[in-house]
Amino acid sequence: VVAVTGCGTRHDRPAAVGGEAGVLAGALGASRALIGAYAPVAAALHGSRARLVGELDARERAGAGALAAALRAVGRAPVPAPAGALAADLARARRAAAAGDGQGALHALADAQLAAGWVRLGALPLLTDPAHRRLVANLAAGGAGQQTALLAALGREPLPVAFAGLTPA
Amino acid sequence: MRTRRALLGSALAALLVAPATARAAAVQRRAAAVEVRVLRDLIHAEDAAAEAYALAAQATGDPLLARVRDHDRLHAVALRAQIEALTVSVALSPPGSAARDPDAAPLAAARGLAAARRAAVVHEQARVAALDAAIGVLTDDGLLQTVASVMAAHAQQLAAVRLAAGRAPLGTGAA
Repeated sequence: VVAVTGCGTRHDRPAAVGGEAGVLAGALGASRALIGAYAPVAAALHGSRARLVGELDARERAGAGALAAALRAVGRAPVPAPAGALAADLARARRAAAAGDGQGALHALADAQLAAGWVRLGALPLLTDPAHRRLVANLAAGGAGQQTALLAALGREPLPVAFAGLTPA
Repeated sequence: MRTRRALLGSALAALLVAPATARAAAVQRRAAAVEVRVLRDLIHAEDAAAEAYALAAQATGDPLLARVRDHDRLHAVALRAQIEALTVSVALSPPGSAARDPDAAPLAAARGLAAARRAAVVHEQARVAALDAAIGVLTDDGLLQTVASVMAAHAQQLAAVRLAAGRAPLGTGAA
């Protein structure tokens, strides 16, 4: 989603391709991809699980709106579709939903939240504006909380690992 | 051979550059001092949180509270590693730190499972808010990512203790 053009040190922050706008666009791409998966997954569910996915959709839309506003304020950049684990997890969620496997779709969404967390964590040090860093960190934290809600809805351990699975290298 | 004019030019350039370099160094030193202070506060808060959860888990026998205690201990370890990388050490908080921490004290003092879970919800909300504020002042890349991962963990803990307290997992804020 974002590329680094140098090795950063404490006071020599690496520049991201596309600058601040490019990094925000990458984070926005992750949010839009999640939003694109919520409706089909919700359609494969009923009751409280469908309502939960609807709530996650609304929260992600709010986060995407904040990212889009931040992006507009700093410039323009193409919003990329996510790749890697996030794309794979969301494709799995859509396939499961299309097959009527709501349970499988929820498992894949929980995995996708973790993958989106990694995208956001990776974007964080590439941002220069403290307000943007807080925005993206809050989206990562919000996604982690949403992952716990999904895990609990699936009857899985809500706190499977420390650091929300986002232990930096 | 350098001419007198060239030498004067070099000297003048050095005079102009030196104050700017000194100012930049001073700004960096101040930023580093702020980061150390913020990080030290976060470490003490994680120590206090771990102790508060330990007390609450012992009082209630709740495995969820014990699990959060273990995670908070790991957060403190990770944050200590970060501050040690800045050649600063922070001693382990002495016993009783939870009672002295305004955010952790109600959890440490909670008696009964329902009261402990309610106190845990309030405590986790405070931790997420404190970590969010810290993100706004940190500049070091590794620190930012570590603190963001700890914030994400507290957002998970908040959702888990909200559920345990009989509430919806997600509150009104971002986390």
